[in-house]
Amino acid sequence: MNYTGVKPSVLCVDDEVGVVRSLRWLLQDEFHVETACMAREGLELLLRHQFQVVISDQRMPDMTGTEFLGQVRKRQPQAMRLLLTGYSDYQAVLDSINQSEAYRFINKPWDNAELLRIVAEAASISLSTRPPAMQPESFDARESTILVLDSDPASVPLVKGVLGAAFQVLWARTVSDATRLLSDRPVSVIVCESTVGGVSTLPLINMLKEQCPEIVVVVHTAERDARAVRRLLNEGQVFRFLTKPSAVTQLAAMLQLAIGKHRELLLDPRQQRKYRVEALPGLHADEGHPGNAWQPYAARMRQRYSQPE
Amino acid sequence: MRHEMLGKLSQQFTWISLAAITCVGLTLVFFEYRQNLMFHAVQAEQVDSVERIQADFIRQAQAVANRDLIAIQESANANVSRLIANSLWRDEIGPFIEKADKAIANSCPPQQPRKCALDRRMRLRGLNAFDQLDRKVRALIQHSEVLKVKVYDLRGITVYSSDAEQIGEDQSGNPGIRDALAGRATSELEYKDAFNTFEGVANKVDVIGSYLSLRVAADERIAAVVETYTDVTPFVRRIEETMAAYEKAARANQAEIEARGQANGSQLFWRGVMQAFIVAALLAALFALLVAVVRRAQRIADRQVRERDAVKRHLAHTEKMRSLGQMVAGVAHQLNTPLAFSRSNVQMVRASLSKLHPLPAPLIIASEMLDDVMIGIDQMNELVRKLRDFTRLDREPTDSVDLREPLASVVYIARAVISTKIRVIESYTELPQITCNVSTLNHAFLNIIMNAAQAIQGEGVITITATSDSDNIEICIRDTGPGIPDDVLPHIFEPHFTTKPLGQGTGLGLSIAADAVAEHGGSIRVETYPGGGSAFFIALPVRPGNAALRITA
Repeated sequence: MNYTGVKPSVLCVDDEVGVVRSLRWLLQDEFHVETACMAREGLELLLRHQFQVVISDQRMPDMTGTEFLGQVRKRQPQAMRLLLTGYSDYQAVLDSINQSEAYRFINKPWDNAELLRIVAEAASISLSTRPPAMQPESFDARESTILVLDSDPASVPLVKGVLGAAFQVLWARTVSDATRLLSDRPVSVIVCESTVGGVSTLPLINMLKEQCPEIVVVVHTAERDARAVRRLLNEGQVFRFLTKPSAVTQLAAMLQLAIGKHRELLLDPRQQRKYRVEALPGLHADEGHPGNAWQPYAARMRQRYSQPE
Repeated sequence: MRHEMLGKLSQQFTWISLAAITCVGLTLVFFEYRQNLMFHAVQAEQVDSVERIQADFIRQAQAVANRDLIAIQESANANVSRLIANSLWRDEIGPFIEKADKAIANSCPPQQPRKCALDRRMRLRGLNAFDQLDRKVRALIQHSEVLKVKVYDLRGITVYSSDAEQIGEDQSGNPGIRDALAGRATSELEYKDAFNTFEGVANKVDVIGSYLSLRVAADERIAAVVETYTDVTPFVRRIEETMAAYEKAARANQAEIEARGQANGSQLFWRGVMQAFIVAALLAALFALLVAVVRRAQRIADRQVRERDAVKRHLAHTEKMRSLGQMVAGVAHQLNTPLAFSRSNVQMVRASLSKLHPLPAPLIIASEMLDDVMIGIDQMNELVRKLRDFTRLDREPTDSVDLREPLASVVYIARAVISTKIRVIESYTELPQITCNVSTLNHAFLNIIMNAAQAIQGEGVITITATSDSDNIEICIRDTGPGIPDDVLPHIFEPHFTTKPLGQGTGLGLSIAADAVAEHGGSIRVETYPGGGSAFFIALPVRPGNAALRITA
């Protein structure tokens, strides 16, 4: 961690005083900590300080954590957003991803060492990346290829219908098909299900984020499990989350955002650090793990997508 | 058929229809009876009318026969008188009548008719011509059927009679004589007990007497009236015999008709009885059928009511369980926050303490206390996590899982509430993933384990094993309790069946477990061993197949 003398600032918001005090004690050695027990207070603090990391509880009396973090994203987009969750319902988790672009979910109770690590990591990313550049006005369609990873063939015409003929849409119905396609040609955005042919797509997403973090992943799924969604964020840094069946306008908006984000990441590779993922445990150590089968593809992809640092 | 199951509907119906059918039956019997009576009346009428007809016929026959006899005999008598006249008129009768005419007076004084008649007789018998006439007449009619001949003159006085006593009588008032004087012949059939005839007294004879006009040959004027009596007893007997025969035949007919009538009557009666029996049997059968139908309806209605009640109770219980589950989850969630910062703070204190070298004496114990606190907090964390896993309220209801994980949660929670004298042993082999409603199965497993724990009094062991083959996963929960008695065993999965005293236990635990297993297309059976101990075997198909997986939210 390379601080230029000034401690990074962290904002902790939780309606439970015990939590806020505990966090302060934990973080105050390495960080400048501000705390609030109400979201309103938090918003006021945002007006007065610049923060690198914002930690918020989900359940608060005046505003939910996702709403609050959504506000944070608007006002201080450089701040990394962490959500403290106990048991949350599915919709809240979804909103955290879509509205507030949370970086991580942190379960209560947390492990102190773990929490420190995440906050430090987030602070580092925040400091090292500039605020994202303005969204380019026009999309260069030639550079944008969309990969649809879904065993349901109806998903392809859906995406094609939304995007129009200018974008190339590829279809893979299995993870191995997707891997092959990804190693053959550049892909901007992946629209995928959480499970394809009985196999979870999470390992693939995780690997992609590690190897090719400029690829933006939108999960479009019938899955309703909150825990699975939390994992998709923590371990896959899924950009957006959409439940099936979705309104066409919603899908269109998400895809446009995803394409825009991809452009942004291409233009400013350091932004990609914001989308770092936790490596799946045992992914590479286990010989038989499907992740290891991707090594050759991963190598090729790294070659293809390698950017100057 | 327990009577308490009969129900109001069934009873009402039974009584009402019994009354109705009895009414119908009685009406039918009444009509049958009336019909019988009518038949008998008709029959009697017929018999009567036949009798009348036959009697009429016989009477008529007799009258006709008599009429014919009279007519024939009249004709015969007329012939006889003609013959007598032909042979005796000129010489005997004619002159005699002339003399008789002069001899006796025209009429008698009314005061002494007898004396007058006697006087006449004397005179007439005194005439010479009388004896001659008498002799000739007797000679003519002897050995014939003619019993008496009388001659009357135009004044109606008996001038001659074969019965001497009658001579001289004034019979002018006699209608027969008057008719004959006018030219009309008449005859009469009479029965005479004693009759003076030519040859003496005849007893008990039937005679036909005819009054005939005696016409003189030349100008056919009536000169006298002849009365002739002929014995027709044989003919009358013959007629009577014939009539008797007729009557006998008639009586035979009558008897036959009556007998036939009786036979018909009795046949009708027995037919009627048989019909009545048949109708009664049909009515009884109808009644029985209807009663059966109504009873069945009653049973169905009762069963539906019971089922509805059972469903209501089940739903209520499920609802209660669900809200309890939500409450448990809510409580667990609430516990997360204080657990989080407590843990965090303790960790930090321990970290701070560990920086102290050496640790001051009072703080050594403090440090150890904090170690224990940490253990306590971790225990709480674990329990909260397991509770959350058990209720799975943040998860999808249907999920593909390795059952070892939910089983571990269930066992963990069960251990927290089961007495420490009971050991719980888990032994699982590798299990395939199975798609199921995990919280429902959790509930089922917990119920069975708690049931096993409650069965064990004092010390004991509960063993939970999970094995699988390619098609099924089998979970066995075995306990070292006293076993299940034979009379309890068949009812063990019934809802509300419990061996606990009133107020303890709902009796729903095992039935809910059985329902949960059934929802997944699985099967549950229980074995109990004479030495003690029971084992519940739950088999769940790995692929649900045709079983509809009902997601109970």
